[in-house]
Amino acid sequence: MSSESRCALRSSILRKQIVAVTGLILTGFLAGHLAGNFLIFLGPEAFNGYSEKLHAIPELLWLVRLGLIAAFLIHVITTILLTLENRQARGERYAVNGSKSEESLKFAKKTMIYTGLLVLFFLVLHLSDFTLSDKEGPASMIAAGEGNPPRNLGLYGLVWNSFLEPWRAGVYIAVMLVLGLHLSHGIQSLCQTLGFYRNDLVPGIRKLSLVLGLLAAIGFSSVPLFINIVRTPPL
Amino acid sequence: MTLDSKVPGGPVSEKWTRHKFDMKLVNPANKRKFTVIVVGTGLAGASAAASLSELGYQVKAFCLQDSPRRAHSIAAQGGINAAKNYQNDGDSVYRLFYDTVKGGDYRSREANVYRLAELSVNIIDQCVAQGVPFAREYGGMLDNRSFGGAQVSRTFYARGQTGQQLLLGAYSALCKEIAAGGVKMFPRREMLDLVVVGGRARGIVVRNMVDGSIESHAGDAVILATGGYGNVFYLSTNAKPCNVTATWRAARKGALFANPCFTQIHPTCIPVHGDCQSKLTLMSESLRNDGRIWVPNKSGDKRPPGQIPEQERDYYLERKYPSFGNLVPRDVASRNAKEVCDKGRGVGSTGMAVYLDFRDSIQRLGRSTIEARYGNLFQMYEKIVDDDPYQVPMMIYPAIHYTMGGLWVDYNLMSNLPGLHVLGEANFSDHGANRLGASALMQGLADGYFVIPYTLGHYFASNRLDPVKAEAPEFKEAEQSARQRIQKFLSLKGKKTVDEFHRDLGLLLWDKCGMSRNQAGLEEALRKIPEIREEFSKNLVVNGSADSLNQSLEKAGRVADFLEFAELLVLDALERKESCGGHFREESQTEEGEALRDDVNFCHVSAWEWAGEGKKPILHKEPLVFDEVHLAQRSYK
Amino acid sequence: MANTINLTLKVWRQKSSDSPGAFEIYQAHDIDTDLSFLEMLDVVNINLEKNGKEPIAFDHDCREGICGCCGAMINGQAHGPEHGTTLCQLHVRKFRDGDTLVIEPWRSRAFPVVRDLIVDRSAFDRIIQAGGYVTVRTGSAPEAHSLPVPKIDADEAFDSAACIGCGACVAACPNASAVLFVGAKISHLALLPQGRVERERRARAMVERMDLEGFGNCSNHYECEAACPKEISVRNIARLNREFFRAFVKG
Ligand SMILES: Cc1cc2nc3c(=O)[nH]c(=O)nc-3n(C[C@H](O)[C@H](O)[C@H](O)COP(=O)(O)OP(=O)(O)OC[C@H]3O[C@@H](n4cnc5c(N)ncnc54)[C@H](O)[C@@H]3O)c2cc1C
Ligand code: FES
Repeated sequence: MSSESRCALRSSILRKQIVAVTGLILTGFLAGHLAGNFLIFLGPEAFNGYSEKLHAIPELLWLVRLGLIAAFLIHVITTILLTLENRQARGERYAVNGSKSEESLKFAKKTMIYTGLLVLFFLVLHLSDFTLSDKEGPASMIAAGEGNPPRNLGLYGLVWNSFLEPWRAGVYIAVMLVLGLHLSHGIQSLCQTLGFYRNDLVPGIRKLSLVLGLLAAIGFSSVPLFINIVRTPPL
Repeated sequence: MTLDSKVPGGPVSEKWTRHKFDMKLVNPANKRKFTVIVVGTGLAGASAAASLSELGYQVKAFCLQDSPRRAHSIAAQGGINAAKNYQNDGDSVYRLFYDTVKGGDYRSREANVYRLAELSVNIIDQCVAQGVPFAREYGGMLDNRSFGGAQVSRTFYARGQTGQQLLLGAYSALCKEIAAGGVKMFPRREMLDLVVVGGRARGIVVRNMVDGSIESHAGDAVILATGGYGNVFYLSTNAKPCNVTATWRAARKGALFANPCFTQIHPTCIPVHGDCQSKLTLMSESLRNDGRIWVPNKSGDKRPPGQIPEQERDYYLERKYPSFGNLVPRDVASRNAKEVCDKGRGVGSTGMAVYLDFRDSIQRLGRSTIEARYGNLFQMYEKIVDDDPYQVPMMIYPAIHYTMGGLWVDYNLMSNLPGLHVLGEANFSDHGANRLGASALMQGLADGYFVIPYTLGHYFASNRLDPVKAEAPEFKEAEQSARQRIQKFLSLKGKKTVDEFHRDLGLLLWDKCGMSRNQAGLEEALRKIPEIREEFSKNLVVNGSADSLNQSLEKAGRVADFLEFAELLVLDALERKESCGGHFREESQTEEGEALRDDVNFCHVSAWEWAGEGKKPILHKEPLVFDEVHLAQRSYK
Repeated sequence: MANTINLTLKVWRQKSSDSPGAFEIYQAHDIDTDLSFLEMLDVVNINLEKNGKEPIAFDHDCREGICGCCGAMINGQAHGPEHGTTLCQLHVRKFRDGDTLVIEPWRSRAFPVVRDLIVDRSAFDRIIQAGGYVTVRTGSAPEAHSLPVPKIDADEAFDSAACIGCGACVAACPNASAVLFVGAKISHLALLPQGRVERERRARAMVERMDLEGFGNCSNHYECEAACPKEISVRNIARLNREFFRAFVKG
């Protein structure tokens, strides 16, 4: 690597662009994840089948996983570093903090680092709950319909059972709202950082970002909501 | 002393070309041995500093502001003239030359004006290459407008911010040279004295405005590009720190001050509203293209404008000057506004304003057309005055805007003090007794980009300059006297602030030596100025210390110099018994009340020599010869 | 007749960059609402001066909203509450009788306080010196019409070039970032054919200088755009990002 590009790697803008690109990757992952989640509505075969297909080639799966982990770590670490730098850049604080911006989503912008960190903590829980836990054990047993003996429904059962616990569903939905907030600013922010400046596109991108954030929140929340409304899986 | 203008021989159109060839050159390898001090980084100073550094000279540049980008030039709105004839409407270098000499009421030097017109075209090329975003037509070519009553469209503009864009261009050239190491920039420095060694200008003494230290800077030549002295009137359209200090201090060291009484009053400014007002805001002259100027017929008519019927309004410019109407030149429009207000027919809370009414144009052209033409100006007016000019007529009044007078310079832009060069508004300029719109920017840039780089080399090549150090006794002396002055201000501990003295002086000058002048008034002013000065030297209050940032102290120095200089301005006005351009002597007018020039007795530049404290300055005259443009009385009837 | 109001001012006073500062409270009585904000400070200063105190130091020059000298935070808002306005163009009539105004200097590590409300913005000059120009020598310019520029580009370049370098963007940015300032200059020159020749070098050099000066990073809060007295759009930042990326890719 030439010394010039090493220097560029330390540059504020390039690091922001790294955050943007990793953000884009993670957004793509979320979109895929959400699509997978929706298979729950089609029943255990569809959902578990999808999960099995993902596991069919473990090497590939791990490659993707490593990629995602890397993107995630880079996204988080770079952001934390940038945030710390930004704190220093102010120097002495203002006695009064005001704003002249009339935008409605100021809250989302101001809390990006916190919403991000919240999602990070949740992720740890989420992985240990689902990805890393036993998918064939008692937690996967569900009695489908009156009088039927409980069946092992694999990952489907695991998800179903855990969301039936109201606090889990509650926490999950709350975090998904936070994630939606993060995305509602994040998506348009990454477009800006990657240099979309066309006058005719920018207002559209900002709206799209909001809509996508909202859709993500609703989409992810729909699964626990659905489970808590139906309570027994429609088999 | 004889004033040698050093105008080269030959026909006017060939003088500059020949002169460029005749001037001596400095060997490229030797250029870096010369240090040039440039005071002021407005259009004139920044362009000079950058161009000289490109040639290889070592440049030290100084300005008052925290950055060279903020010089007063930034405020120019309307545009810059150039004889490109892109509009195919009959413009030419000769016509621009002719218009400028005539517009200046025949009180400028023909050869200089011709050179200015000639160089105008290069300025546009240079600025475009720097990336100045001039207005363009759909075909991608530069757009022009007609400005200030010119009969051809030769004004290049960048919306209403031409000065800003040109200055940013010159500033960027300066930054390029600072980065390259050719220019060393000293911002927040105020020049307090010129240092003359062995009869030549060899340096300056400045105050570091942040820590108060007094610094000496030595060089081989000094260039002053410190702008105009309009703020001697306190209220003007000039930026707050505009001052006469640099040029006045040079005058006290022997440089001649030429035509100080030639001051320009701009007719369309937002009127004064109260005692605490600190400056006046210019509204572009272009407003007169569609606005109609009027006052009520009856004096003391306090009805709101909408309730004054048509037959009780006096559109006085249209009445008196049927062929030019509202578009008469600046001086004529200003004087007439004063006249109606003096008769008690002025409007607004102070009675010192006239209406500029767009009602008829809005009816004729529609609100959207007016909005497209003047939207930003209307907005600016509303912001300041809190009235909506689409609904009620604007109120305007003349204000001091520009000063044609300045340090005397020869064709090479060098003053009578060898080594001291003066550029831009600071010199006595190519505008005679009245400046046409959009030509100050042109002059500043012509001086800086295209004249001084040649003539300064000639000075260096034709003179033997001994090395001079900033430790020389002449510098120590100047430092000492600067320190003493500062200590004096701080020690007075009186009761009146600098601003209050400045306001007193301004009111007096505006009253007695403003839009029209007469002997009795001028003599009264000559009596009163020393009184104010006397009180200033006893009753001034400036708190704080000399060794820190102290804005009152800065102002005190400037006002002290204004108080000395004002006397010269009034004296010059008194001596020039004719009316010409911006200088209207009531004793010299036609039967219809128009300005009457006296070419027999006053066809000259008045250049004043400082004779010492308490002594009357000595007048030197440079006769003006007109070979090309024939002397004629201006008429706008 | 003129309306007058009373205001309470809580003003940051600091003798020099290396001495500590603190707020002081002043009463501004019977202020004509037609005065500009700076004229109101003038009135307060005359009173201070007459009472043997040092006046409040604040930068100002043109008082017409074009030189970019003036600026302060008024109750946490850069240049005060009005949009698209510099402090010198803000008028007292925008406030109500009895209001308390907290007046602070721009705060940024890159803009140390010089005195009271005056800060040192020379970092901006150094960024321009790093590359905010077209390298053209005096006298070497071609005829202006030899290179047509589409009107749309010229107009857009003007929008970016309208920046007055006041520093409100840095002051208002939660991260004290200077990207709007840098983006405006980069855009101005990148939009014109004259500026395109050096675009990669310029983008790299100016961003590097910006980072060295200690400004923060942009996290797209867009407070800069809201505070900008010339209403310069954050699209200039997007263009800067792209120009920089382009320069990075081209190596
Ligand atoms: C509101 C307004 C609008 C105008 N519009 C137009 C227009 O449309 N077209 C046109 O052609 N002209 C116009 N003019 C006139 C024109 O702007 C000025 O004449 C011109 O810009 C002067 O440039 P300059 O370089 O000579 O001086 P300035 O730009 O005044 O620069 C002076 C420099 O000297 C420095 N300086 C001053 N005193 C000292 C000191 N004691 N020590 C150190 N440094 C010092 C300052 O810091 C500054 O850098 C307008 C003027 C005004 C007020
Ligand atoms: S003083 Fe020039 S912008 Fe406010």
